[in-house]
Formats: sequence, C-alpha cells, structure tokens
Amino acid sequence: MPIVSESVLITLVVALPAEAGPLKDFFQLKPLRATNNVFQSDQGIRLLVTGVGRKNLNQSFARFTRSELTKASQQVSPAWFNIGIAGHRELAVGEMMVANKISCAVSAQSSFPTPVLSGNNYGEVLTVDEPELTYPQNAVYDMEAHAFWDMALNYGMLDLIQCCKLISDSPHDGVEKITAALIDEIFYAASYEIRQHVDLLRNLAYEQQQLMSDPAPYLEIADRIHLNVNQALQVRRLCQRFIALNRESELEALLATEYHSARDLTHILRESLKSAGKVIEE
Amino acid sequence: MKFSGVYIERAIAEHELTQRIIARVSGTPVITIDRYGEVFNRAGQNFRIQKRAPALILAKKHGKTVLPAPEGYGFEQGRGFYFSHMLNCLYDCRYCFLQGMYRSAHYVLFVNYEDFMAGIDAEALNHDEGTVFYSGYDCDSLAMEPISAFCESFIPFFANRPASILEIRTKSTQVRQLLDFQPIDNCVVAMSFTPEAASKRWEHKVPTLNKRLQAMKKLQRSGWKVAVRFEPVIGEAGVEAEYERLFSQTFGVLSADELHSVSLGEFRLPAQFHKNLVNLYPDEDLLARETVQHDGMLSLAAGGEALLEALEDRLFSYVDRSRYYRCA
Ligand code: SF4
Repeated sequence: MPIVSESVLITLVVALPAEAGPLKDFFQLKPLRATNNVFQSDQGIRLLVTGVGRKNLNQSFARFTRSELTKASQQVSPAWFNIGIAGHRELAVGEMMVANKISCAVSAQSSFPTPVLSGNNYGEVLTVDEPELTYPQNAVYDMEAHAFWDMALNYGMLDLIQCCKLISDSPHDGVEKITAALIDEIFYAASYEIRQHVDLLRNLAYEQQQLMSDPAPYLEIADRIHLNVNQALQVRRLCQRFIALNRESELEALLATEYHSARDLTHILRESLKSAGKVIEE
Repeated sequence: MKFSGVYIERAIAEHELTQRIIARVSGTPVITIDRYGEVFNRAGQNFRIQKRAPALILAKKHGKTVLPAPEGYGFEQGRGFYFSHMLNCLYDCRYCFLQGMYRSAHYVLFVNYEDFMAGIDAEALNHDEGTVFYSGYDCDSLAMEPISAFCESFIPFFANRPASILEIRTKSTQVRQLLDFQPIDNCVVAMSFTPEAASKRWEHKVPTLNKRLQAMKKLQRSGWKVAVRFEPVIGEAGVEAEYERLFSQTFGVLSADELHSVSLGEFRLPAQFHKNLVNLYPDEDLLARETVQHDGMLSLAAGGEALLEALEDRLFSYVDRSRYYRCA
C-alpha cells in the first residue's frame, strides 16, 4: 500500500552506546519516550542502539519493532544504515570502509548491499561471534552487520540498506586499546563522511517516499467518498495521470462537478483522459 | 566508463575477457560472487535507485544462448534469432522496456562469448535458408564496446560465416572499433532514431541526433552496411512534422540508396512492463498517456495505424519501398 506519511526516516543502527554518543551529537537526536536505546531527531533520523553481537541485535530489533511506539508511528524507514567500529588487518585505525559484501562467519552466507555509497575503501564485512584477534581474511571483522542486514531487509528497501565500518583495531592496534574516548575520536574524525552518507540515504528515501505518496487530489476524494480497495487504486492512478499530464486544473474542475459514487467519478475521470488521448494533430 | 563496482562470478574469474575488463576498470571495487542472481534482479531492488550508479556484473550465460526472434522482429533475409550477451544499457530512455523487465539496473555482461558463438553456429547449421542474428535486444551492443569488446570478438567471427547476418542494434556512436575493421557484407549496423525533441525529452544519456548521424555516415562511407530504425514512434500533437524534419535530417546525411534497410515501429511494450514502468515513474507524462491493449501488448492510443501510414507516406519520398519494413 502507498505510504501516506510525509515523514520519512533513516534508521541508524549501532551496537555500542559509545558509538551512539557522537551520532546523537551530529544529528541532534533525543531519546524517544519510553525507550532507553532509541533516539530520534525531527529531521527524520532515528538511532537504534542494539548492544554487541548478533543475538543482542536480533533481540533489540524485535523489541523495537514490536513496541507500541513503533506501531503507532506513521513514519516508515526505507533506509537503514549500520555504522560501527570493526577490525581489519591492513586498514589503519580511523579509516572508513563501505561494505559491498556482508558475510556471516557462522552460516557462511553472504549478502551484497547495492553500491550506493561512495568512499575511499570498499570491501567485505565479516560478522563473527567472538572478537577476531588475528584477522585472517582481507575483510573487516565486526559482530553485528550480517544480523543487521537480515533484520533490516524486513523493514527497509533493499537498495537503501547500507553498512559502513570505522576501523578501531588491527594487528598493530589490538582490541584492548579500544576505549570510549578512541571511539569518540574515530567517529568525530569521520563525521563529514558519515553526514554525507546519511544525507544521501535520506534523500533517496525521501525521493522514493514522494514517488509512492498519494497525490493531494486523491486524498481529498478519499476524504469525501467511500472507495473500496480497487476503486482507491484506480482513482489514485487517474489522479496521478492528470498531474503527470499537467492537467491538474482540469482535474480540479472535474472534481468540483457533481458525482454520485466512486464509479461515477472513475468514469468521468477516465472518459476525460480518453478523449484527450486520441488527439494527434492540433 | 565508470561503474560503482564490478561483480565477478567465481566461475569466470579467470576468463580472458574478465581479466581484460578488470585491467580496464582498475580502481573500481571488485566483488566476487557465486551467481549473478545474488546481486541482479533480486526481489525488492529498485531500477531507478540502481540507475544512479550501476555496477558491472561479469557472468557466465548458462543454457540456451541463442533464441528465435519474435515474429515480425527485423528484416526478412533468413530465419531470425537473437542473443543477449548483455542485459541492460548505458543509456536511460524513459520508454525502454528493460526498466519494466528488470528490477535491477546493473549491467550484466556474459563473458563466455565462445558459447554464444557455438549457439550461433548450431542454428546456422540447422537452417540452410540463411540466418539473421540480432544482438542488442536486451542492451545496446555498441555502447560498451571499450569494455565488452563485442565487435572486436563478433565481427571476425561473422566474417568467416558469410551465410549468416549479424544485426547490431544501437544508439551509440562507439564506431571506432568497427572502423578499424574491413567492412563485412553480412553485418548491419542499425541505429534507432526518434525526432530530436523526443530524443531530448526521453532518451537520457543518448548521444545527440547529429552525433549519431555523423557516426553512421562514417560507417556508411567506409563501406559498412547501415540501417535506420525509426522507433519507437510516439504519437502526439505535431509528430508528423517532427518526423518530416527527422527524415530530412537523416537522409541529408546518409545516402538513402545505400542503406541496408529502413523501418518504422510504434511504441509498444508488454502490459506488465508498462505497469512496472509506471511504478518507477508515476510522474512521467509519457507513461500517463492513454493506451490501448492488444494481446497483452500496450501501445499509445494516439497514433496507431493511421499515424504509421502517414509517416510511411512521408518516408517513401526519401527511401525506396523495397528497403522498408514495418517493425511488429
Ligand atoms: S538505448 Fe535502447 S536499450 Fe538503451 S535505454 Fe534506450 S531503449 Fe533501452
């Protein structure tokens, strides 16, 4: 069904409160009522803090999507963006890598985010259940990305589900050195890129939202008369066609005339489009 | 030519063409996959979003590589077949059926040309009456030449098979590779044209009419057989005058007497594809116009037979009827 709400969301997903801190600051996110791990701005950005590992992420998603708050919300989130720290054997601490492949070390399954984001480094994110200290593969090691992908697929648009990782550890800088202060530093250093990615995803989500949203004349009609599902689809498309054909004023005039039923109206609109459709030479 | 990424099926990673392409796109992220279906045409993908930054997928074509051409497709010089060594196109024509056919805008290039060639040979062997092979059915065959090396591979192949004809359907000006070869008699380069205004409005990223005419002129002058496809014809107010101008521009540059063939074909596409296009571009006026449906195919209500006949009349003042056919 078409999305009615004007407000489109991008949902950022992080594992750690330390990762959430800088994001709350960048995007002016405020805690959402009755939650302690969901934050939101009035600019259409939401943040979910899941805890570390696949299990915590799954539970967090489940709690979040079940919550009354989410159910009551008119807002949909076509874009989902996992961002967080991870380890790599070659990339230096602080570098960002955009995921073009997300694999699960346990199930050996891989998924491939659409290459929408651009950056300096691209590569595979390999999700493991225990911190990886030897970095055997040429991949970024994290603990949530694959679970994130699987969950986000249920709620977002496939092409707008994205992931990027900030390098926090490597063979030279082990996991023991990771502190909240280091995470803070890494996120602040990458703030420009993070903002760019978020802006792009939000714009794409907005564009999709606009395409799917109901045309204003249709909403007026739906307010005035009862339309069954089939009629609603037909009237909606007829309104869209008038607008696309730049015949909005004609549509307005037709809507101002007397019509007695949805059938009546559909007939009037269709006939009007039909008669104009046959004209070739003026 | 820039791609947002290059996906490579493991099975053809070592293929010569794959290796060549990788060398050409150095700097582009390369991602290994098992089957191209992992990234192409998955449920939930969106053509319009992907078209902003398409990736290149190098894959192996399995199964039948050459298929019978639909009834009425192309000219009559033997049994018609088509083959799709590539899916999707560099350009972005708003009327293109590919947007309705695939959910994904990535370019899939099947690098196992040897299997396409074997398929062509097999069909040619089965049909003594001669065969015509249409390329560019699901793509534009020339547009990606620097990457795909399509002409580089298939022109020498057809040069040794004079009984079979290759038609290369295109809107591209990438003719350098063809010009480097000696022309062969059994290859036809067919360029599609719509009037300039229509092209500007709907054929995004397609080279200008003038540039395409000049490319065709170069080919014609150097001895290649060229053909002109006036399609899709989109009926609307003033369209006859637009076509009159287009015919005069076209035949002012190309020698009508030396053309292999000329055709006209109206804007038609399967109803389901039209529906998919509408979902992608609900605000596009071309897709909001009145349509008629016959046997599952949609065409515009404006135009139809009367318009085609009127255009044919005008066309015959430039081109001999014997060179003409109407595209089904
Ligand atoms: S050139 Fe042909 S294949 Fe390419 S987008 Fe246009 S209509 Fe489609």
